[in-house]
Amino acid sequence: MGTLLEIKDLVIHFEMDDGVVHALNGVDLTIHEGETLGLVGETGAGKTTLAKGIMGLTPRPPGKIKSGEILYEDRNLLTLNDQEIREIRGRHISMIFQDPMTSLNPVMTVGDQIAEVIETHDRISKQDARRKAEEMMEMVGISCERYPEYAHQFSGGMKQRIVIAIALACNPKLLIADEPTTALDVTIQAQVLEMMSRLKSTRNTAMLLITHDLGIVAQNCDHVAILYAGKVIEYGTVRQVFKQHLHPYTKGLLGSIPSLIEDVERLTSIEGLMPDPVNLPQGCAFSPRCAHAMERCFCEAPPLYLMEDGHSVRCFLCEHSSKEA
Amino acid sequence: MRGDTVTTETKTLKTAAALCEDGSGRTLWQEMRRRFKKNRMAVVALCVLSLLLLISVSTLIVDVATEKAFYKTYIVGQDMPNKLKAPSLESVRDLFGRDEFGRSIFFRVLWGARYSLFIGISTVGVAVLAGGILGALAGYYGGRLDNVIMRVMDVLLAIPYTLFAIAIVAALGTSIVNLLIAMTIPRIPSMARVVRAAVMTVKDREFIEAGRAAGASDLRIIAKYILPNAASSIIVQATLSVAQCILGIAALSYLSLGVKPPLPEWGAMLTSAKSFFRDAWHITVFPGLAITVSVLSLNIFGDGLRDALDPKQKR
Repeated sequence: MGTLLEIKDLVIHFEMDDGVVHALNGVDLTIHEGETLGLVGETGAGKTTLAKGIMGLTPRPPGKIKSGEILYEDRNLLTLNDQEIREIRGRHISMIFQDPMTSLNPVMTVGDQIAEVIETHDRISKQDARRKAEEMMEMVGISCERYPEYAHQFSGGMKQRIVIAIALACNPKLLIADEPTTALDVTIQAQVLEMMSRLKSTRNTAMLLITHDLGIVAQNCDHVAILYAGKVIEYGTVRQVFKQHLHPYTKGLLGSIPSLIEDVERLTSIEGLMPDPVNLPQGCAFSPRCAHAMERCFCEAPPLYLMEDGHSVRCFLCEHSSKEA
Repeated sequence: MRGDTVTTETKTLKTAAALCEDGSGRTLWQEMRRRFKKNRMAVVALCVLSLLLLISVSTLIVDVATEKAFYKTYIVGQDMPNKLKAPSLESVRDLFGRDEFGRSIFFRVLWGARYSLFIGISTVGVAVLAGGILGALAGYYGGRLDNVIMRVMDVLLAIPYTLFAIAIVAALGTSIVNLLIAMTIPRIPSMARVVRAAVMTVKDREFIEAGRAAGASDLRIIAKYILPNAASSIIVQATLSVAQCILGIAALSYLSLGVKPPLPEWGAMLTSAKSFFRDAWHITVFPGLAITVSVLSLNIFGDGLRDALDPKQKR
């Protein structure tokens, strides 16, 4: 599996009037061709900022990309001009937004919205684009008779299918799904996810699945990255992160899921809140909430340690078991 | 009593049938038309406006067909023996009476429709175009461009509108083209404001970002995503300002700065008639009525349109 997208030390800050929001503070991530990478984190951890950063949709101002590289097929997306990044969007990398209710244009028929993307990127005639759009609709399970209808005539799950059809219309190599099922109810969630993974595997599309639902990650992803306060704190295969997790935060996250086997009265939760991204603590961002915090954690930020089994953790507790040690 | 119940039943049946039909394939446009039809006043206003348009077109056709012979004889041609003749039903020519030169007021009112309508619509058309582009740019890009455009618009807004028109006409001379310029420029700022506000509310909605994520360019985003969604407020503002324009033309003509006599413009007719008002009521009432009816219709139509375009008013 070749590398499709490589993010190196990405730092994105939002410079507001009342302080600098440290949204992303040095993110390193790699997405391989055809794989699904789950990106997990609390609200405000920087998941959406990362997604928008890859798409070149960081609102500027107030957003500012301080440093880093996003390499897509050896091209740095951050240095492309408007024209070039537009070629990438939708054609090579496309995105599904959180809320299907608001991510469709209310005054354009859904069919035209699918056809529009195809027209933008492939130099084909209107009729061909329309035919292809109808094919896409059938593929996501909506009769192409509904081509001339508007978004308000569809239910939430069907809207999300349309959004997926738009995202996949040009056969992108990478699909960024920003909480694609959060706004849907659970039965529809399963359908939509099942359809997405089916389409993804038939078209060999890589996917960055952003979510805070660990169940979705366990079922759909190959690798997982846990994001906390703008940094990846643990990265590995699903099995590694779920079974051999080492970071106290990951432990806390997984401890908060109800178990099917054990009978537990109360779920364990992580004390406290995520630090305010305007003034992050010195040292490890998780240290104020961490049960294992040492003197050192409060003044020194831990690096990402690569473990023997290939997964990486950002915690001093793992210093001695890491490969380098 | 019995007939009543039957009619209500058929009515409910009809609406139910309509709902079934509409349920699947109703577009926003059809939805809007359905809601507009419910507002009876607005439908009447639309009929009046269509009639005005019809009158303007047919008088134009008469002019072309008779090579202006009819126009020369009946509209501007004088008939002094019959001056200030009271309205009578004896002939069409005397329906609204005669003016101080013996010209038929009825014909002159009909022929005057085109000036009001033509100037009103073309003025607002240009203002919508210019104000729309400026407002869309200001609203979409924001920042410094927004500041520059809107401050210029603010300066224009600060000049009293009639005074501005008078200044332009006084500087450039009275002609229809100058009148158009004088009417158009003061309209641009208010149009730009409306469009800017509409664009700014639509701009941050998620589907705009989704469109951008699909690779759409700024131009496409503005033309296909933002403007169609902001259209309702623009259309309403435009309709209402046509009414203001008709009043403005009448006012300028009344001040002898607009359309020059003997052209049969309604405001100009009022001016020349004002000194004969005591002897002949009809020569001011009918042109005045024409102005009132058309302005009122446009206002009611604009209101109806606003209600019809508001999706929250779904009933």
